Amino acid sequence: MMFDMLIDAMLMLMRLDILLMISGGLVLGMLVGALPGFTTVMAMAIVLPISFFLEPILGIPFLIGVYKGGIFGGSIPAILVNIPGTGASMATTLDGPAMTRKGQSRKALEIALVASVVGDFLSSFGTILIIGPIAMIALLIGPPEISAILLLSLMIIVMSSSGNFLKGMVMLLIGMFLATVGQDPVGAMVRFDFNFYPLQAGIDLLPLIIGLFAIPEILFAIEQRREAVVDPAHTKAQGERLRWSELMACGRTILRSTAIGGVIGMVPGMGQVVAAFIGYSAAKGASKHPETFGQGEIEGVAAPEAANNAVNGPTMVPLLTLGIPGDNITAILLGAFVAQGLRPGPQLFQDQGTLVYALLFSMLLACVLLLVIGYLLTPVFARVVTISKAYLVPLMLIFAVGGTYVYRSNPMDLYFMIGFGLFGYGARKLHFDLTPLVMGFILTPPLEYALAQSMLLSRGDLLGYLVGTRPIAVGILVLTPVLIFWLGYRQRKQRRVRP
Amino acid sequence: MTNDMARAGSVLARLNFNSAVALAVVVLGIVIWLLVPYQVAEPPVFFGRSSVGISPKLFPQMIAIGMVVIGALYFIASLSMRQISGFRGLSASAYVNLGVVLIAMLAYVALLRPLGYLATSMGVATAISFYYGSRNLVGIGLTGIAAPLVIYTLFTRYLSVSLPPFPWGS
Repeated sequence: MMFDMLIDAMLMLMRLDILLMISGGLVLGMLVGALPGFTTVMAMAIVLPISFFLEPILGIPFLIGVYKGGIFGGSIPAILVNIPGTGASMATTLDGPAMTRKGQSRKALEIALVASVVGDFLSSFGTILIIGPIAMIALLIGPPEISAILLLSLMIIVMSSSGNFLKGMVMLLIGMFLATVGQDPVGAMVRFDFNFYPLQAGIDLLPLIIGLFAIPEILFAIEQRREAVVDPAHTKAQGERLRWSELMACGRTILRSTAIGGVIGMVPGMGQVVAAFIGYSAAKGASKHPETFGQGEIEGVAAPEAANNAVNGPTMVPLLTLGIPGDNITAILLGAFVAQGLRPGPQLFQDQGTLVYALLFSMLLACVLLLVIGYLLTPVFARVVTISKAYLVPLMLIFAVGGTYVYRSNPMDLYFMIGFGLFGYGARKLHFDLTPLVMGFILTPPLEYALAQSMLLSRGDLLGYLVGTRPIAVGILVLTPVLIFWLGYRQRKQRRVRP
Repeated sequence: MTNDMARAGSVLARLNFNSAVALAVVVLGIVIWLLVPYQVAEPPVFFGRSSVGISPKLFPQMIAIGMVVIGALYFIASLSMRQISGFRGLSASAYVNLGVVLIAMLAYVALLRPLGYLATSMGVATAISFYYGSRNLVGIGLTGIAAPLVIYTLFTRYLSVSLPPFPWGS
């Protein structure tokens, strides 16, 4: 039965248009990733509406392509000009630019590509192996456990968001409040509509996502009209190629980083940046010559690249089995699933198992295509670093407006988009992380629904019901403050260690 | 008395943008709490029992309380925060640039339906590209004419969704 499903899933992917859509997504992702200042999240937010109007088997792999291409693309400017194209490639700047200075930029780009693909492929393969059993376990849990897991996830996201815990909580509460606008998920009672018709259906996820992730990038870019242009001389892949022996020598480092990224990817809120730095530190710690790290060490590029890409696959575990997006990128993917009528959760594996596995297999396909496309096009994307924002900013704007409008053909969505854009811009200027806001917005309706179901099941005595019959929910609820305290303690300790 | 005044003075001196945001969060929490009775509809009651597990007022009230409590804690914490607002280093020209783009965005959205997606997109893309400093006609042509055409065709032809057509179109 399971075997048949996997075969059907593989057969579902045997289409030329799927290959083309993934390839298109990879190219687009690499393009945006290679542009310093533009993020993968922004690219995914802008192209999200395209996926709404395609079949799920075309639209979601397209977004997966953008995701994977973007994460790898970020390493190109990180290596060549010491500017991380995305946050995920920050750790790559520790050794990548030093290799470029030594005339080994081609080798650095090639090891980054291979480490990215290997890390991503192995972690995605591992994800496919474990996600089915996890979904089966998730089927056994009920509304009280779902409520407890959602609460725990929100707290982890706040704790692991960049910046202050209280500022993260403020963003979370604002996101939760925005989610309450419109009809409540239990009895469809209207809340906070202010007798304004467009608010009665609530705030849509698309203008919120495009507003928060794309518009601020435009506003940040427009602050300085003529920015310092990167010297084109630094945007060439130069020097000798990566040798097989060098790749083999990095094998253990790549596998270690893959394991680190794989585990971190399954924890909501942790993400690529954390994985990349931990992968780098682990490689340095295990090295026989740690003094060479920071001075153009090839393992110093392989380790963070394998780790940050290894996060990609496992982020699907909480998303698909529990409907919990672990970061902004999976939040966007959740939007794509929901728009396609696919509600992530354990039930999805029963109802649409073949499609889910086909989407998971598309991640493996995207890895293989990334190797080919990355190998062929990395020198081209190295040149992209110098493209003027005078052309990119208007392009982003007209795409964002077109994409937001087509979803509901409602001009009010565009005003919401601009409003959220301004809010996002101001929040980032004041050092707020927007991730808790998005997560609060997405996870509040299922939390409210699960809590209402728990109340109905408990017949008014929630505490007695939980203690008496729901030990797992109680365990998670007890674990939540302990985990918050531990994460807070760790963050404070790390801050003290840093000068 | 002098010590109290000195302490009050030092607290005032430690106020920063985080303190202002914290107070705004507290005020927002109070406003939400006050709005709940007027802005949240109640579900029907059958035989003296609510038809749903939890009241639709519960979450907004919890959020309001959360905002007041977290806002107060944030205010206290803000007094020892040393963050610099990102707005502080912005030059006057940056504010002008932001204002220009914001007005362009609003005009774009307002004119989208009356003038159609293509005409407004071409106008806005060309204007922003030119304002941003580009004087390359090929670049402006690609951004201002080709890109809106491609995006319009992508959405309307290949994805079969509608964008406002030309003002003279159907």
